[in-house]
Amino acid sequence: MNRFLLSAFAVTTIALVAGCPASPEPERAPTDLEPPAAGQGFQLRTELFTVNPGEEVQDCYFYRVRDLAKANGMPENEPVNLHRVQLAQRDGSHHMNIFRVKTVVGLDPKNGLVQRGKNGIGECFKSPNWADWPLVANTQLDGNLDWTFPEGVANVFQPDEWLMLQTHYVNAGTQKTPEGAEVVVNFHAIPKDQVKHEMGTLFATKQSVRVCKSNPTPEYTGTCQFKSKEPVNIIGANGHFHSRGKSFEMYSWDGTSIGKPSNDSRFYTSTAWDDPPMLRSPDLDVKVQAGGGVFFSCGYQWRPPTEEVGCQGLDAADRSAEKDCCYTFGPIVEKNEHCNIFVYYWPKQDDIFCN
Amino acid sequence: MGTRRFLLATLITGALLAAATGACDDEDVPAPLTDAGADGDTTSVCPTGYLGDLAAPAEIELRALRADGTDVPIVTGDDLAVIFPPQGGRVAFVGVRAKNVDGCGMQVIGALRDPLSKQIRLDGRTVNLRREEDGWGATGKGISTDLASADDIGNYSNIPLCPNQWADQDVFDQTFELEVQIQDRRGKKASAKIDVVPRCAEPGTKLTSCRCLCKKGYVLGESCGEDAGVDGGSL
Repeated sequence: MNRFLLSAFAVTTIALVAGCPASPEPERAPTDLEPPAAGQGFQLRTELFTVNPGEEVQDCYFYRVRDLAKANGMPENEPVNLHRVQLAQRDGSHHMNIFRVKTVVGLDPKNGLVQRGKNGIGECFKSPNWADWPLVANTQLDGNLDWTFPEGVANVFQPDEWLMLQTHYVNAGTQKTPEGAEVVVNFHAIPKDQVKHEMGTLFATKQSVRVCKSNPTPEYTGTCQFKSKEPVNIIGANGHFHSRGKSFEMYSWDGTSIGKPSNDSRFYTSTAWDDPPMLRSPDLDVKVQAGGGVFFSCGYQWRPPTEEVGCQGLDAADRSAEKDCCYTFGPIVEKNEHCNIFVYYWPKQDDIFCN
Repeated sequence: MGTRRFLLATLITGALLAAATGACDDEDVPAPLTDAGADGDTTSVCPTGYLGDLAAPAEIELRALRADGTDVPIVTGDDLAVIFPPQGGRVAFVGVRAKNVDGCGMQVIGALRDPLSKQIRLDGRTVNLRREEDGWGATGKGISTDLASADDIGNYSNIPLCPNQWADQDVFDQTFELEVQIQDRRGKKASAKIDVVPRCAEPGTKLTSCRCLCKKGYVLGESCGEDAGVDGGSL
């Protein structure tokens, strides 16, 4: 051991024995994320806000690509080739999604760059408003993500496109927001001459789900195809359901078979509703045959509702005439269920939506 | 005697450990429906119970919802209503009447196949059938005209048809193949396959939007004049 290493070892040992950190650092917020260097990307950051006990807050923030690019020294009139995305959130997030805006219905950036929703009320809570908006990036409880796409793959945005960043924070029985809520996102871009393949996204949702006392273990299955004449590569996948969710699975699928594909076609499994894996490349790299797509299933286990909600609360939210203490589709974690998949792939055929 | 004492101690320790580790958390959770009755046992786990003869093969008839919410039988050559659901886009609501099956916790899968590309769109779900007077069980009553009512549509296979990013022809006024498969919780299966003609079934602006969303070659984001539908909820 040379003299330098020996002395370094001695100092470290003394510090450890003494119970003192060698170089104490100030505590950093999870959202303390440096923006990309000028000209190489941009940052989206929400304000820091409070979620009171018993509240669910869902806010929609709009950004125009041109404005974001210009603000960080990128050419405002050229497409942005997103190649790496970094996400960070403070604790309490139920989900964070970024969409590219397509058909505008009730949620229009012209009505304000920040549109807030609380406890299920507001345009930012109405999913038909973004029914055909392709997903750009998303995370859930574990809010940190740093994903670099495969070499030459980029998600390409045009200057006049709008992006919508949607935050959903919960401070209630199943999830807590102990401190302020905040989300920050970094988009890192690559030059046009480095782009070999454009990335596409696929979003599918089951919204007529019911998890009822007399039908306590339902499973919902669905499919969505890429409509590609060549094989495509799945490089990102995430599933989303709520606390009655027991098993979430995705399979590569041939586009023509009705039954659930074999287990060796399964590429995604989640049994943790509040922290589902966000699988991504290089760990996830699944080739789907031409004409194929994704087969997905959501399995549930009915449980009695919390005391605050009770079966009366579930029944009141159920549009059915026959009440059966059912969790139905909707945004409120304590009362509602979901079954959504988010898939990222290349080469892009189209952005795809299956309802 | 020593062995019995050991066993007793083991049991008590196990019980204490189970209590300490929260094994009682699931007390209120019903047993899974996969625990089907023994051979010859027709008891079931929901009010519908077993429908018909345990030893007889399962039988099904296909049903579908019309745009006015009525539940009707469908046979080969019939129209299949393409309807604007709460979740947006366009779907067909397909159900069954069945007998000689367990009416509780039944898997129903509905699929529409494009005869040109052989591609399908499908929806599968676990439902409790409703017992009818003639001893059959049905997926829905079809007595409401409120299609936003989850009870009316939640027990049907919601086959997602549009936006049409999948078929090589318009998903209206052309012939497609409808296939429905059922499997009860005891593993008993039945299926049926017929030709149908999807029709945009709602008048006015919904008709125009339907023909736009369901046309061959629709591109996501193309404006079809959709409204936001009902309060659906977030992701």
